[in-house]
Amino acid sequence: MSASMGCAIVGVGETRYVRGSGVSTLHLGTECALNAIRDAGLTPADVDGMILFTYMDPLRTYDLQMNLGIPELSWQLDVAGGGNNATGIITTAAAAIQAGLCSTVLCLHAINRFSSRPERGSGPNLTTPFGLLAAPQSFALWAQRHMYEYGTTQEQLGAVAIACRKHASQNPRALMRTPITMEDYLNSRLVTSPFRLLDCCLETDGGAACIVTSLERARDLKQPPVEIIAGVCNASGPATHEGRDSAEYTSMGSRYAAPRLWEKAGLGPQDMDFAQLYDCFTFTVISQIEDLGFCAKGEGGPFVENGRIELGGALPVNTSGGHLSEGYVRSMNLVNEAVRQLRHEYEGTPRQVPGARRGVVTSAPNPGSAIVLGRD
Amino acid sequence: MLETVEYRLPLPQPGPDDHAFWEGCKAHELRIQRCTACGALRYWGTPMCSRCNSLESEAVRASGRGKIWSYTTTYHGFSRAWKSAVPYTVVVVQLDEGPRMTSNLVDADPAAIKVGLPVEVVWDDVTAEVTLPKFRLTPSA
Repeated sequence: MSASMGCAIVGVGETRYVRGSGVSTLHLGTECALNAIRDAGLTPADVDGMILFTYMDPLRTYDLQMNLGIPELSWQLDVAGGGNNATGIITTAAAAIQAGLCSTVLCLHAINRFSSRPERGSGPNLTTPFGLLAAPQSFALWAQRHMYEYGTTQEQLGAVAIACRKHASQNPRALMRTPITMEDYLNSRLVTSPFRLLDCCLETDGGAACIVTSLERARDLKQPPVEIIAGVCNASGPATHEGRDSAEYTSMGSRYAAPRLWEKAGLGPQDMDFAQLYDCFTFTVISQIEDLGFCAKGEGGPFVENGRIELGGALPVNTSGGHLSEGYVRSMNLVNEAVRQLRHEYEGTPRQVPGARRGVVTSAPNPGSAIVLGRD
Repeated sequence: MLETVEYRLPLPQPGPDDHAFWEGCKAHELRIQRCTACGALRYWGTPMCSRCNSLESEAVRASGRGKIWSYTTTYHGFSRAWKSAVPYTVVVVQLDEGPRMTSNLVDADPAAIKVGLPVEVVWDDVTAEVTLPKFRLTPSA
């Protein structure tokens, strides 16, 4: 018998994932919110709590409330920050419900990331003058160190890209659906070593949302409830530049989220039927597989080889195609995929993880959030 | 580079937590912080000593030698300004004194760069006011 946060995800929804939405971020937010509310068999008036996170592209809960015509909200929280917050806001929503602050919470992220890519100019003094400007470079530094310490190979990074694309080829929502080979991967252009184009996720316009409510209420709703067994919101460790030991340099915040997550869940990596792991870059899948304890530190490279993380393998990872091939909605799309897998919505197709009962979803890089979801 | 060519890449805007570092660079002196309470050495941008929580520190001169902790050679121009500079190599150097810093590795064939290789600081006076500390592979003796 596993633990529980006493809450469930009862609705999921999203916009189309595109590059060039032609609509406002508020438009994307309202659209994915409404889709999630309807998926739950609810109306906007049934929502009394709201939490979202924004990254560079502002969106406010208050504006969503006005547009959705929600007469009153008991609780709302606007979080500023990156994708590490996604499963964190779901955890926080469940905690707010357990604390009696509200009963039904809309959790959301929407962004015109492709259409409003900011010009990178000013930035931190100690890195920007040296041309360290963008996420691919920071993650490349971590990946390079991982390759040095553990012998991780370019082909192992490639195996992650290939698995995600293979999964996306079965997903009509995915932005990139044409399967790729190792040759395609190795021939893709170098962006910042060791990363090639196909190591990088897809800057996307889109939104994804889910509805969290108490387990008790969930049992009366339209969808089979997907229980939030445990959650961690933004765990972190020593983060000062020179204070980072080797393991920290090659890990994500999931290194700190994982022990808390498994302890709260009363479960371990061996109990997971799939994992939806924050794949802003191929490398983060390898490091989080280690952080979460699916294998020992340093063995993530060999772990992803030979189809082990593909559907049909021992641990299917990012069964929608993930950020690398479905779209980059900062882990909220990974949550929706986990919910659909646990509802067995893909039953009868190769996309379904057979008999899936439990799965983990992470949000990275640092600090790290994660949730364990399950069904009876 | 000819001195008449205008430097177009972003320049540091020194603040209270790194002012002494950039002053040192101008004097071609690589400085790190030393906690005056416990003696721990650290890099910049950190007003408090994470070991003893003292807010008192002083700038001390580092050797300018270290080893490559990690690196990435960037081929994609991530901003309009930096498009003109690719390819270039961002390096994280572990200084012999312990702290790690971000810089550029210059005059190196990307194929020859490896984690762990020894490097030494070189000074790039990019404007009359600003000098950037960069690194090169230490010539083998």
